[in-house]
Amino acid sequence: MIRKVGAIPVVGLLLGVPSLWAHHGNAAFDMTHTVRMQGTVRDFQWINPHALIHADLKDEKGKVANWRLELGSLGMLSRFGWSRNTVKRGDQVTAEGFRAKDGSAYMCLVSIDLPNGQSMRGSP
Amino acid sequence: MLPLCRWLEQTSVGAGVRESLWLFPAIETLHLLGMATLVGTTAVFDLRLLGWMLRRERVSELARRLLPWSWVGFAVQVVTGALLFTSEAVKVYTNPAFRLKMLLIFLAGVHALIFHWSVYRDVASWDDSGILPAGAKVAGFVSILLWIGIVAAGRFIGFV
Repeated sequence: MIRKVGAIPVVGLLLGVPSLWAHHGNAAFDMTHTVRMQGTVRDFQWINPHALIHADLKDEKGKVANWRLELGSLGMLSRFGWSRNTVKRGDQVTAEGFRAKDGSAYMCLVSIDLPNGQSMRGSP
Repeated sequence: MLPLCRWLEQTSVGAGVRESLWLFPAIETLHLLGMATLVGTTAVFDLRLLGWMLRRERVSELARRLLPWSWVGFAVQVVTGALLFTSEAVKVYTNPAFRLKMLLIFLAGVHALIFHWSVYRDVASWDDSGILPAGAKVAGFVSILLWIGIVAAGRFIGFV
């Protein structure tokens, strides 16, 4: 019985690794506030496990960069009314989301305003 | 390898898994069940080698009853893992956690072979004993560590 105690540090070590508990949709992003940027869609990928939009967006300093916008799963997006054709290359959009903590041009998309005026939810 | 990965992604299977609403999570579900079967049965056998559980069971009897299930689990993992890989082959191929996982699986295989050809050859002489030879304990310990590493590396693919 005493020998089983040896397993406790191993389990404790695994429980202590924060990434094991955090979904990467949250852990990598600064969830305290959203950013809002306008620009042009370059690519829309309707893929598992998360759909992706690549877009050239202008930040608050006027700098344009090729942003990677991470969306929810295809099942969630379908419930929000998305299809693989909701966003197209060349669309002028306004994206709102949580920026990556590492400062890269990467965000968790909360919502996106489409050229037809419609606003779509991007993630749960 | 990268051209092969690119080709895999473009096959109808790759595209189907990548773009389907339900196929990807369904395959992930099977991958988790396969993991439970494979790692669960392997860990029970390893813990017997360590002398931490089922000490009154013969080692060879446990091997006979458990290890076929390990192989069933492994087969499920190969099939479901290949399908998941096909859907995002380029991204996953370059992922360091995926590479570590494949290396650890290879090492677990080599380790199992070495165990079978060395320590396990004279299992008859220690089959009934609660306290096993050092070689058997080391094998059980190394195997459990490798499988924890494989599971952890797999889980980290989405985070690195």
